Amino acid sequence: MAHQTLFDSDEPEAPTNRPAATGRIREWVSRPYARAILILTVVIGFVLLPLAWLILAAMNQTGAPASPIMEEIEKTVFWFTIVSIPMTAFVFAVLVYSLLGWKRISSDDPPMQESPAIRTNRTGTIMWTVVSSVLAFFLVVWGMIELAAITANSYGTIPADQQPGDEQPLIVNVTGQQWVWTFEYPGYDGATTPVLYLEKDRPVYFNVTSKDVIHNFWAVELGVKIDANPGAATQTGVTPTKAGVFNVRCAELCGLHHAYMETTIEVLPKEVFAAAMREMGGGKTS
Amino acid sequence: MSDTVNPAPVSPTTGEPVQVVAARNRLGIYFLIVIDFMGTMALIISYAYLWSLNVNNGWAPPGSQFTAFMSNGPAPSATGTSFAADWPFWVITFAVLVTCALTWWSYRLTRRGDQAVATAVGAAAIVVAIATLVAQWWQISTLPFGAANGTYASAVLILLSGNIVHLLVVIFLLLGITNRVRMGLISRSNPWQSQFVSIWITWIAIAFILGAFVTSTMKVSPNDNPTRFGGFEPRTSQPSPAASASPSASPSPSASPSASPSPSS
Amino acid sequence: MSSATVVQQHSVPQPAQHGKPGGMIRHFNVVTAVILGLVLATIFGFLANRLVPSGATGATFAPVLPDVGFLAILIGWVLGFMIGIGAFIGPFRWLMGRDLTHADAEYLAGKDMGVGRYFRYTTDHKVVGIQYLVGFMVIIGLGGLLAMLIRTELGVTWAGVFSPDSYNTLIGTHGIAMIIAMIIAISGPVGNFIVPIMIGARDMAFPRLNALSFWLLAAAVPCLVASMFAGGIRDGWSVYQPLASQSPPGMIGYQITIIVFAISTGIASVNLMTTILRMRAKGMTWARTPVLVYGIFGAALMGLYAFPFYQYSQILALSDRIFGTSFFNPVEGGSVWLYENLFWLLGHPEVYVILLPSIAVCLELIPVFMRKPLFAMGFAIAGVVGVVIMSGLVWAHHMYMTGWAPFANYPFMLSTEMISIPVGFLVLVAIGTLWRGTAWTRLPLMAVYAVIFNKMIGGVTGIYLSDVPADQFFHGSMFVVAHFHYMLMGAGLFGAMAGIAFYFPKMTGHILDERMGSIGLWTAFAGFQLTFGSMFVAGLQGQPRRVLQFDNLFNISNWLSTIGAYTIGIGMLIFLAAIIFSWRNGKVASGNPWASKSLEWQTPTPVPLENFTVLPVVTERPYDYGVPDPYATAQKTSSDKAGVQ
Ligand SMILES: [Cu+2]
Ligand SMILES: [Cu+2]
Repeated sequence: MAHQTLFDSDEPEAPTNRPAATGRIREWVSRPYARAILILTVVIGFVLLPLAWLILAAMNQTGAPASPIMEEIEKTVFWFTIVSIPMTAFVFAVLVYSLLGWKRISSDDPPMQESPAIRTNRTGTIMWTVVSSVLAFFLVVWGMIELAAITANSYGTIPADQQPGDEQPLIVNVTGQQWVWTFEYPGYDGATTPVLYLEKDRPVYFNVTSKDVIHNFWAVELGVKIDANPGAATQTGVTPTKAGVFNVRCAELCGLHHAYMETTIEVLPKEVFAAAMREMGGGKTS
Repeated sequence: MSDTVNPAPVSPTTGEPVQVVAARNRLGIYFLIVIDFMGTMALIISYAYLWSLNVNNGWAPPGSQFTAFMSNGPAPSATGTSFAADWPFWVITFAVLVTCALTWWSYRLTRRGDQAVATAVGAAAIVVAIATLVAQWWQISTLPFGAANGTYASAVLILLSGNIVHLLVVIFLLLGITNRVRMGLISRSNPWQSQFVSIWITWIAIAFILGAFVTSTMKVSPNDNPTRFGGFEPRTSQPSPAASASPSASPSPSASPSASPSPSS
Repeated sequence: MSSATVVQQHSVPQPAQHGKPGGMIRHFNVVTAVILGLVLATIFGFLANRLVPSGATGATFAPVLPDVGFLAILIGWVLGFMIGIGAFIGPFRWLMGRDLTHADAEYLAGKDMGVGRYFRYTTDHKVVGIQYLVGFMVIIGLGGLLAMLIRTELGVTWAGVFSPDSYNTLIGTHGIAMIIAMIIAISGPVGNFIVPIMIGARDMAFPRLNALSFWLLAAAVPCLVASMFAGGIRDGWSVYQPLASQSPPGMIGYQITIIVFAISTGIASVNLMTTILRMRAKGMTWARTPVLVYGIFGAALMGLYAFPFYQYSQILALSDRIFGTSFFNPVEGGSVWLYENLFWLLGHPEVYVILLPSIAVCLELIPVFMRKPLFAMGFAIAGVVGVVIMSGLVWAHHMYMTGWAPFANYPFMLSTEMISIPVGFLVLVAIGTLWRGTAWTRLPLMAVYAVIFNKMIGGVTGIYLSDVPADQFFHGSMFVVAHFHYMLMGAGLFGAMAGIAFYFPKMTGHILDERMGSIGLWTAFAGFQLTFGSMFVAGLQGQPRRVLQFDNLFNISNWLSTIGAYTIGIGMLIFLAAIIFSWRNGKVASGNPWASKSLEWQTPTPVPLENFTVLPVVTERPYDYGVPDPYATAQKTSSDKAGVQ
């Protein structure tokens, strides 16, 4: 509905001289181009709408979402797609209709015919400003809320060593170096593995660093990403909620074999995980 | 057009009134100063950022050795001092301020039409600027550290190298402008280039003050517990290789940026 | 008109004419520049070889010699080239007090109007504009060729075409070559050739600096090419430290290129800004200034404040390499975050340095082809101003995932998402001007459609990346690559094609071949959608960027991408052929083939040496096209009746 008065083409006048708002909207819609734009916007919007699900389908091909963080990410992507479709559809509708709906001249010489001299339109510009500001505001608010949620899900509201027995989180020290990942489990006698073993439904905290250049620790299906910086340790975390095999990739160019700097994540049920840790030399179960 | 009886002097090359050309050039000078200011800010930001982080305890490792570039020459002895003395920064800054004042004075004299005195004052400015350059070089060559002795050394040396470049530009400009005052090209009717040089040198003086300020206020890093390179514990929990190495031990800890890190625990 | 006044004035000392007009600079041109550059490069390289202790004497110096040697060669090249082109004559003459006479200045501006003026230190802004146009096409050709090689590697997944090192060199060189090309794409040719005429000036504010900015660029780009023969730039266009410190000496080619290019851009910015602020014709108030001038001004302003950070990041990196300092070497106390901050302090504004002129040139030409005034010009100006102000405040959105300051993600997300408002204004102006007009569907206008389409896709995908949670998935993936190609290529390069097609008649005197140009444009456009549409999919599936091998999962999208890329290549070659063909023997253009009302089209083609015999006086708003709006008048009369009742 908001778009109906957009680009109302009359000059700004004193309000007393103007017909009632409903009348003006009805008059505007009665113009042939206005109706066409509205219809085109809706049609293009519906054509674009499946993208919201297709995008998620592409993201989910390897088993995502495997954590609450990834679910939040996908929710964000989904709703951002949905809210940006009307605006995109409207712009595309104007593009299409400006070519097909009005007159079109393709002569070599400049056309004799001039178009209506619309220098501005108060209603249209105000509507655009308001709508785009509201959208930007929505993005910011949504982003802040989601960021806070993800932060709470990753490196935590409760310090790792203060959590009660069974809930105690797994701590993994992740070290990137050209071109392998090493995972160290301080809670399991410092057992070290080249494959990341995680326990299903148990929060895990990652300390990440690098021994040479910048790498980026990307646990794809878990939605975890943080740089492994030489000379600094970064923290993040996640709770894997889905058992299975997932991917770790290096997402920062790190030299010759950057492309091969990947490994797998095995998210295991509790007992299997404990057994795996014992096998790796980490006898202590905590 | 009607400006054939224009009383204002016109520029020989474009035929426009000199005031118009001068206003344009002055604006250009201001923009050039913005560029140089941003570059200087990049150095100062680098200094402050490295100072605040103290990565791997490498801001100012004590008693470090002079290992890298130019080590064939006479190396300053490793005295255990990590920080440069403050006073040379301020003495050199003061000298630049003197140059700046002389340049403005020369410009004033030119405006008054006092060509001979203006030339003399300009010459004095050149002498001071060259003396400053020598002093700056002396300061760099007597610093108690070399380029490879941690980030403090790096940050100070790059600031001082910036000073050298600034001084070279200043000396070029002063030579040119004084010569032109002497030749009468810069005169009462068209003194503007002298003003531009003065404006530029004013900015250079500010840049020197900024440099002297950060180098004498930010010394010991506020971060005394940085993370050890390649690990997760604070650096202080490990014996620091740089601190434990006696000054006369190995002459080259690691000069190459790509040196592989020491093995982890 | 000015020579008459010169003769009468004696209150300013007149420089004496030494010899023929032009003096020493008569002997210099691009040939002497190249010769002197090569000679000095050889001498410097030889000296470095002799003076620097070689690898044999001590293990610590082993890596130093090739670095210092290559650095010396490059410095020799740049110095020799600039001496050989005559760039140092100006400062020298100033020092000696031998100012240019009017005849000297005219010689420098290329008074003879010969072809030779394109190959020497010519100060006329139109010559510099043409030089930039050709330079742009050469660099983009280089970058495009590398892009084809990259896509070949990625498309032929069953056979490694390139070694990892060669592949990394390809992506790094492609990236930086394209960035340089796009930065000069419009500000160079259009900014230099068109803007001074558009504002009614005889030349730029600093003609000699103008020549200097181009020739510095010409000196810088060969360093980039040379780097490919010295091990290459293997670290992406962003050359993150400390990875770059592991690179072979080729990295020094990158650093010297950037340091020299930043000087070139800086003085070009100073020149453009001063020209625009001080040299507009009488009566050209800010309200009467065309929007292209605003766009170029905004781009120049961003280049002015942002480029020094980039330049200094490379100076520091070079110092690390040559002098053993440790700004970016974490073992010795350096910080990788320092590099990232310095780099992106330019890196983000640079995106708008590319986009603003491109969008502005589109906004400039839409009214001409729609025969309508620009819609809501105030919003266009507000958009430019907003972008210029805000683009300096968003750089750390490239560093969301670096962990340098997790809480900084909140303010940077805010600023990044807010920048969509001024950018949205520019879109509003574009579609508002397309609204209800009679479209004269010539090539420049059609290219604008391509630009707006791509801009929308780039913008919408940008909102995912601006959002920290979503960026946690997309950062460093092919999605980012596709996004910024939609922005920089889809909007930037297609915008540059629109601008070139639009101003081609004024710059070359010929109309750009409509049919051939259109075929090229739309082939490239179709290939573009395929290439980067598939690349979005690869990113969504989780393919990291800058990899040469990947899971089978990504095969299909990469094959499609490669097919698309070859299509772009074909399209671009056709467009290039159209340019070359039209330039040489295309249809001769009249002075104003588009029936435009702005100042630059009122001059004869080819534009005479000082543009105007009599400086123009501007009395009208720009974009005075169109007839009264029938709907508005109809409504007015109806509402008048309502008022009477
Ligand atoms: Cu890596
Ligand atoms: Cu950005």
